[in-house]
Amino acid sequence: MPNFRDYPASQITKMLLLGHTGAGKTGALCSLAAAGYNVRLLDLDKGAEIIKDFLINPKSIYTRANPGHWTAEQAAAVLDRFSYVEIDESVSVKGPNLIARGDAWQKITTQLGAWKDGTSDFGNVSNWGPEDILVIDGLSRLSRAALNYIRAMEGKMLAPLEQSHYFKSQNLVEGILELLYSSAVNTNIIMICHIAYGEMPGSQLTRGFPQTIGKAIGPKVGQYFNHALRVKASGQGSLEKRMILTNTSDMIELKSAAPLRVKAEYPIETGLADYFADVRAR
Amino acid sequence: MSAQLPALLPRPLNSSFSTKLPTLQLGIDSTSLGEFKICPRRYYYSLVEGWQTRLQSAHLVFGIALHKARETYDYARSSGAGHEDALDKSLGEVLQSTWNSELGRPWLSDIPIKTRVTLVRTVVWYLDTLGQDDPLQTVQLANGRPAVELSFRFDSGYRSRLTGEAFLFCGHLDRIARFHEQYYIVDIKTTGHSLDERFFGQFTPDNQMSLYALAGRVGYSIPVSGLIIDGVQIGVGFSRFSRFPITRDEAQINEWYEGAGHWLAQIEHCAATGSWPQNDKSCGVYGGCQFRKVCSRSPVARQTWLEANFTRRVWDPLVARGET
Repeated sequence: MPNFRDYPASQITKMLLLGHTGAGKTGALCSLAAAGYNVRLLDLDKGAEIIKDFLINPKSIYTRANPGHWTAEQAAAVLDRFSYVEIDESVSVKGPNLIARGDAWQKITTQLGAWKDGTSDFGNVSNWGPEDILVIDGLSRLSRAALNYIRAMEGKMLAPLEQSHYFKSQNLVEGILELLYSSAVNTNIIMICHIAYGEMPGSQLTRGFPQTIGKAIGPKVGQYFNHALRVKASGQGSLEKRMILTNTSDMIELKSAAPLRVKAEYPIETGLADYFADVRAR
Repeated sequence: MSAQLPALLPRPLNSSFSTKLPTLQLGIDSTSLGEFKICPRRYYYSLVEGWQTRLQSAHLVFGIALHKARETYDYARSSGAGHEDALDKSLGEVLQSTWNSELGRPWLSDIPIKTRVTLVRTVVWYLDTLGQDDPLQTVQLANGRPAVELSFRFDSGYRSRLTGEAFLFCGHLDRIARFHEQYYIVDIKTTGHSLDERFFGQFTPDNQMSLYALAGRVGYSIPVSGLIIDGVQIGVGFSRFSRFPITRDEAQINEWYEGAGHWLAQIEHCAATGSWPQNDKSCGVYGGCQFRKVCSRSPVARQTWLEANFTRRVWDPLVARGET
């Protein structure tokens, strides 16, 4: 009979990273590249600019050794380990309207099936390994891309939204989540999400859920990830403090697959790297 | 006691069957495989023996006419006709195909929502909605023809253990269309029910869609990305349309393919033994099996009943309809 003493510490982390706009979700990824992971960002939010300053500014903590977190050698190659691909919806102009073409969804699924980044070709995401991290930034835009795709294929970009557009696009988003969660994808996943408040299914309790399309799948998104962390900014000015939280708070349910090995909160600068190290500790 | 069925009449020639073991079908389309999955006896009657009811189902007549209308429309557009002219041709085809010239009267349906009138209305509204300015552009083949009613066949990778012959997967696709930078197999499905999650949910898992997804990967030179259902809801006073993408990942296609190997082995076993068991849990599904009244009779009376109430046709999925 298998014994839990022999149960291996997971080398794969599939994580929801929640937070309000400006909390620091995207910038928090830098510590992972500094710690030696190959971070590949699918940037749907056009928010990658902040990464540049963190990775090339000599004052940045990510460009030099940070004892206990990463070595000078690791820091020296941080820029090579963090790449991004920006995907945006094409638009056309019709009278006074800018109309999305609904092609971002196809670009996203094509990218996941054959990851090309300039001249680099990293192949299908399902062929990546434990040293790689796919980051999708973020779920809101991914969901919007699905919705646009559905409306565009019916030629209804300018028509009012129909109820069926919701379940069709939700179906697509759930399909991607299922695929990323499946054992066929043996690499690390971080899905960056905004927070939308709504009622828990079957109760009148208000909770914060990952923002997506409609209300049906927000409460279900968490089941496709073993870890749900939150980036939170508090205080103002020089007293502002940004942390990564692992425990439920502010009506937002968080979780970890290693609750006794991880801390309640981590500083944002090194937090994700430390969290990854903690959940991998034996 | 042997459950072997006597083949009392010579079967019509059908190129999809083995010449070495005449009851073994080698050219397998989704209809054939689907019939066997529902019930081996039903498969035997409808595919091996080729029996069908004398009165064609209104659903079938309606569906065939709607598909033909789309095909006619796409051919007309492909040859340069505008929407209105192509629609005229399409309607001409519909009116002709639903006119019984022998009896000098139109096709009479026994289903109120699927009549000649609702068919004409559906064709006009469907093509106005999803034909004119269709975001899914029908692909033009290298020979200049539109990619509609495309036949496919490819080696399934499975072989008969008895005859050594290869099983082929085959079938006919409604249409291949381009949407932005990707290609899709588009299939029209009609229903009297709402075009909701439940309707579209019935296509996953689904034998036909999984075979089409496999065909899209190996059967064509066009790199097909997926499938799209053009759902058509027909009511007495309205017709509605809705599109839905059907997805199959590699693992799902592989799962279907492995299952198909199991079913092909079952087909072969039945052909070899001449025993096609009834699946009596399927008699009432899909609106009730057309052979229920046959199976409800004593085995000794069935052949007489079949000959009196059914007619024979050849379902040969290897016969090409268009260009591959």
